[in-house]
Amino acid sequence: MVRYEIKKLIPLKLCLIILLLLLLQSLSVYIRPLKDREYSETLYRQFCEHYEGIYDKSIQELLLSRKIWIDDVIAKHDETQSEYHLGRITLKEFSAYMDIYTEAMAQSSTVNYLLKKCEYYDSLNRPAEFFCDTQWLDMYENDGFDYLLVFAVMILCVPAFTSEYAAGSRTVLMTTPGGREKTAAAKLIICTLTSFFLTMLFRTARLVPVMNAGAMKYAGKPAYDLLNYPFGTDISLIGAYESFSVMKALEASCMASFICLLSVLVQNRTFVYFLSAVLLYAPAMMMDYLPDAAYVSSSYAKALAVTPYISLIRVNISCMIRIGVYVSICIAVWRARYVRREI
Amino acid sequence: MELKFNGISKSYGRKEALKGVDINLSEGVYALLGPNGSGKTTLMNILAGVLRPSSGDVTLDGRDTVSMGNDFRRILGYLPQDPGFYPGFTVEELLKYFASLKGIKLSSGEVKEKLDFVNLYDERRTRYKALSGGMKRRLGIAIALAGDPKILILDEPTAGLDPKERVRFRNIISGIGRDKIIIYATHIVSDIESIADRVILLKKGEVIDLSTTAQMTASIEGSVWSCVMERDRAEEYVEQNPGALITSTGADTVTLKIISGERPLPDAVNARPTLEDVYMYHFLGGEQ
Repeated sequence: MVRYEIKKLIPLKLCLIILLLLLLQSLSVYIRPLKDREYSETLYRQFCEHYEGIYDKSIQELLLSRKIWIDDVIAKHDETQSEYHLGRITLKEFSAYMDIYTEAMAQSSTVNYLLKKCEYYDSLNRPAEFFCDTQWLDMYENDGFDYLLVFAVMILCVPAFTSEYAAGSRTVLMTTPGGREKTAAAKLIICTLTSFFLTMLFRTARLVPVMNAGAMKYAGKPAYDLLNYPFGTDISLIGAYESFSVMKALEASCMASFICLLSVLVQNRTFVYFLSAVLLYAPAMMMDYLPDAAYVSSSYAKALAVTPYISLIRVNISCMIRIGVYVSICIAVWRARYVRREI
Repeated sequence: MELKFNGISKSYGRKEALKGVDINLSEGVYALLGPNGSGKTTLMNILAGVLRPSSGDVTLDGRDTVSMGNDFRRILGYLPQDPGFYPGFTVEELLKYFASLKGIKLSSGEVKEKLDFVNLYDERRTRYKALSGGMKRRLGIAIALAGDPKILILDEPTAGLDPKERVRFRNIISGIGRDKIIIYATHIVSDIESIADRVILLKKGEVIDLSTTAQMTASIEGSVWSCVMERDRAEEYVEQNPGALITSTGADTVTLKIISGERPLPDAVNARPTLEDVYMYHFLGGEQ
């Protein structure tokens, strides 16, 4: 029976659509508008590769001396310009100075950022590693609401029950021993498990840009090495990503069971799509105003992904409870003895 | 085996779809006859356990069918009017799927046997969406018969079928063992005459008769008249009299069949009643 339910729920066309969404997910990082960084990415990578390794004070001292040099060069700009205008220095001398000045200006913001990083490492009071974390930072900073994944879960789960109502096959199913609880349970299990694994696939697809940039070699580095992401534990970068991925996958399973419940309550496929979209996308967009709703909402709160202040255990327990409630009500409504009046 | 409907009523808001249906059925073929909206599908859905009655219950050998739960569903076969089977599944897959829902794993031999019975074995690998209307109905019967049910419910099984398919369907029903209770709802009278043991007449939610076709036709003996009339006059007469029907047409004259307790016209003669006349009598104003 499970084999037939899988064939019903996951036809070839749907697999192709989901593959397309996965591809879009991988490409979405590249088509995102360029982030306005406070530093030069090229220079930052050069510095990081040069100083890659265990952080120590010498790196900060080097950077400080560099900053002093930069500040000196910038400070001399107005004076040098005046001297040139007054003819006290030649054009060649002025040009040479301007080359140094341009280099100092280009490095200024990057050196400031690197010094900020050094201050952060000093505040950790534990060993830290200096490496080029741009790709990982990007990934975590953009790890918010997953519109594509929510859409994929919707197109997977909405037809699970609504197709039976639409076709009229529910009536026949209700007259068989296995068409009630067993069929509903099979559908719910397939939807929740598929959503779980689909999420893990989508999460893996998000790692593609990181892999392409050669940043996977830093995957084992401690997550607290990332500036502004003090996880407070010794979890690695990839470990933190995996933890959040499992949490998101559980949320996706919760979403799937929620959509199934909506389907048996509403029964009309179009209306279920509409309601799912409203109830899943809308709360995520209000997360800035209602952060605690993350524990009760069936949507991917932006807050869930990046802040270490969300309790993962609480979120996971909340997911389990919600899945249990949705599944129970869904099965009860599915097997209820009523038929839409068609007189 | 005795199936009893005990005071079954069903209301949808103010509309009463069924009003106190009390009938006892034993093994045999029962035709549920009535016009659209008479409550046939509602009664069948209640028997099948898909719909909850507003009052009353259905018992099988004294046991309430609802509380029997899966014990009842194991001996039930149901073919709704529009079963809505899955378009991407093949004939064989559908049969195996619904058999698995009944807790039965069909072997290849059993699949062949069941599909041969409905002449669909050659189409076993055809997808449901590619089947003709008649083939879909035959597949529905095969599915309803999976598990050898003791109670078979068929809702308008021949609606939309051509005469050849209807004859094929009747042959299939005739071939099913007589140790079952078979109830099929229809408003096509010709389907009933050849296969039904008894007919249940349902009108506006009430059972007005349950008897054999012979008994039903005998009950309106003397109330069926035949008369030849000019065409124009006949059309006017039929418009004014709901119990009259034109049964055959000639060059200038037509033959009328009139349901009436008294001789309706001086040249009308008594005709032998048929089941169609019974339908007219009860449902087309013939009673008046």
